[in-house]
Amino acid sequence: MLRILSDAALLLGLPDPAPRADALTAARPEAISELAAVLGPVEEALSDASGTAWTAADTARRCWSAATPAEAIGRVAAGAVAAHGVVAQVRQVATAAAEMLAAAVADGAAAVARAESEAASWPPLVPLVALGAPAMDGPSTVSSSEPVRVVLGRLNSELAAAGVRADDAGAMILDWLTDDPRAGLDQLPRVPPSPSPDPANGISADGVDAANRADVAADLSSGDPHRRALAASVSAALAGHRSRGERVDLLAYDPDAFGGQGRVAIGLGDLSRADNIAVLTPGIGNSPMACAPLLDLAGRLREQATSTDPTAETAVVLWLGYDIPMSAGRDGYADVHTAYADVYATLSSANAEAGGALLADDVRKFTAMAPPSALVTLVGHSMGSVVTSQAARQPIPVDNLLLLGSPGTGPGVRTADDYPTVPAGHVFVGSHDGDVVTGPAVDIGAFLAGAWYLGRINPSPFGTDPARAAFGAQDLDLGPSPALPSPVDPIAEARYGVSRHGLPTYLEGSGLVAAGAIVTGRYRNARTRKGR
Amino acid sequence: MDLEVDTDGLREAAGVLQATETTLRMPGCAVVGPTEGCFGPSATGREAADLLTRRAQQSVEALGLLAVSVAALTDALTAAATLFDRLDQGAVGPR
Repeated sequence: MLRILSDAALLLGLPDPAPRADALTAARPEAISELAAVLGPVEEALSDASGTAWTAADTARRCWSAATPAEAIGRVAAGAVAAHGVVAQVRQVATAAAEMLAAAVADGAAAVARAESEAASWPPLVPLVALGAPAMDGPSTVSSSEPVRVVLGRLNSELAAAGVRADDAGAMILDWLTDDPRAGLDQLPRVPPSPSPDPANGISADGVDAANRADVAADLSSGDPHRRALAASVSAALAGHRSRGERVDLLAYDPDAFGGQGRVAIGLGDLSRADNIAVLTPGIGNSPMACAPLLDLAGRLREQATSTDPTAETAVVLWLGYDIPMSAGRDGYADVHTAYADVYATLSSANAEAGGALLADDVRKFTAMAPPSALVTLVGHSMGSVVTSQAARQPIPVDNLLLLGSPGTGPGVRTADDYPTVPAGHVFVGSHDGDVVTGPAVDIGAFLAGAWYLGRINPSPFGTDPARAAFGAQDLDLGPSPALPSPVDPIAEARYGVSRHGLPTYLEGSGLVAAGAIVTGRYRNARTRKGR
Repeated sequence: MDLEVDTDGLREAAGVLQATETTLRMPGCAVVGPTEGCFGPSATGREAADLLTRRAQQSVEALGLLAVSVAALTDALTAAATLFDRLDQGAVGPR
C-alpha cells in the first residue's frame, strides 16, 4: 500500500515518504532494551561488590594496624562504586533511549497506517490522474488530487517528526554516555602480587635497552664466531628499523640461552607511553640469528595498528625468548645431537609449555615498563601460539589473545574460558582454510612420529584446536582462500597447505586488518565467523 | 610502634573479598549483543549505537578488572596471614 503513497508523491512532486518510513522501520529499540537488561546484573554485582569490599576494608583496618592493606582494599571498593555509578547511568540512559526510540517508531508506523487507510478510500480518478492518465473532466481532476496532497503532506510531516525523535534518542546517548566505566579502576593493581618483588619494577625500556646494546656491542668483537654472528644479526635488525626513524628497544638479549640459540626480544614503538602493546611470538624454524624479517613483520603489525588508531601509541615486541624447535638450521652452530633434539621438539608442546612460563615473566616486565592502562595483546603464530596460550594460563596482565595458525592450545587449556585474566570474548583465533598445521593431519603426524621415535603416546600432542566452535573463541573471518589444487595431486595439495600457514600470510589482508583492530581494541573491526 | 595483627581477622577479610570476587564473576557470561543499526541508518544513530555498545562492553570489562584485583588482594591477605602466623610460631616479629 505504501507503494501507492510513494508513487503518488513522486508524480505530484512531493517528497517520497518511503525513505523516512524505512529508516524508522530499520530501528530496533528492542535490541537496546536487551542491552540495558544485560547491564542490570552488572550494575547489581558492582553495587554488591562495593558493599562487601568496604566491609573487607573495615575488617582489615581493625585487624592490621598498618594502613596500606585497608587502603588497597578501599581503592577497590571505591573503584566498584565509581564503576557502578557509570554503569547505572549507561543502563538508565539506554532504557530511556529505547523507550524514546520505540515511541518514535510507533508514531511513524501509526502515521503510515493512517495514510494507507486514507489512500484506500481515494476515488479512482485521483490515482489515474496522478499516474498521468488523460482527464475526462479537467477541473475535477485538480480538485480530486488535493486530498492526496494533504494526506502525503501530513504523512511526511509526521514521519519527519518521528525521525527527529529517533535521532534525539541517539543524541541522548551521545550527550550522556561520556564516561568509561573502567576509568575509576585505573589505580587498581593489574597483576596479582608476587611473593617476591618484580625485578622489572622501576626499570625503564631505555635502561634495559642500553644495557643489552652494550652486551651486543661487546659481542660484535667477541672471539666466539657464533656469538659474533648473533650480535651482528640483532644489530642489523635494530639498525634497519632505527634508520626508518622508528623507536627500537632491545628488551632481552642472552646469547647463551638454549644451548646457543639465544634469546632476544625487540620492541618497536615507545613502551613508556604505549596505549597498546602487542607481543608477537613466532613458531618453529625461526631463530634470533635471523630476526630481521620477523622484526619487519612486527613493524607491519605496528603500522596497521597505527593506521587503525592514529591517535594511540602502539608498541609491538618481537619475542624470540623460548627454545624454538627446528631453529638449529638457522642457529648455525648445532652438532648432530642438538639438531636431532631440535627436530624431535616439534613433536610435542613441551618446549611451548616451558616457553609459556618465560613469556609470562617477560610480559610482566614489559607491562611494568608501560602505563598501567595499556591494552595488552599476545599474538602467537604456529608453535608460538601454543607458547602464547601457555603463558596466558598464568594470571598475567593481558587483555587479548590472538592465536594464528595454531596447532593447539597446549595442556590445561580446553576452552577459551580457561585463561584466568582474558575473557573468552577476547580470545581470537585466525585459521586459514587449508592451513595444514591447524588441521588434524599435524596432530596425527606428531602422534605417530612421537610414538615411533620417542615412545610417547599422546593422541593430541598440541592440545585443543582453538578454531573449533566448541573451544569458544572468536574465530576470525580471514576471507576466501585461493582455490585448492587438484585433489589428485597430493604434493601440490601439501605445498598449498604449508603455504597457507606462514606468518606473513596471516599478517596480510583481512588477517592484518583484524590483528590491527584487536591490538587497538577496535574489536568491531575484527570480523568473525562461526568456528569449525 | 609495634605492628598489631589479628591473623584470624585477616582471613575473615580475605573470605569477604573472596565472596566479593564471586559476586563480580556471577554475571561473567553477560554478552553484549550487537546494536549496529539499532537507532536507524542516520549518522547520529550509527554513532550512538557504536558508543552504547562500547560502553556496555566496557561495563562488563570493568567487572573482570575488579574481579582480578579482588582476587589479588585475597591472595595477598591470605599469604600475609600465613606469614604472620609462621613468624608468630617462631616467636619472632610482630604479634
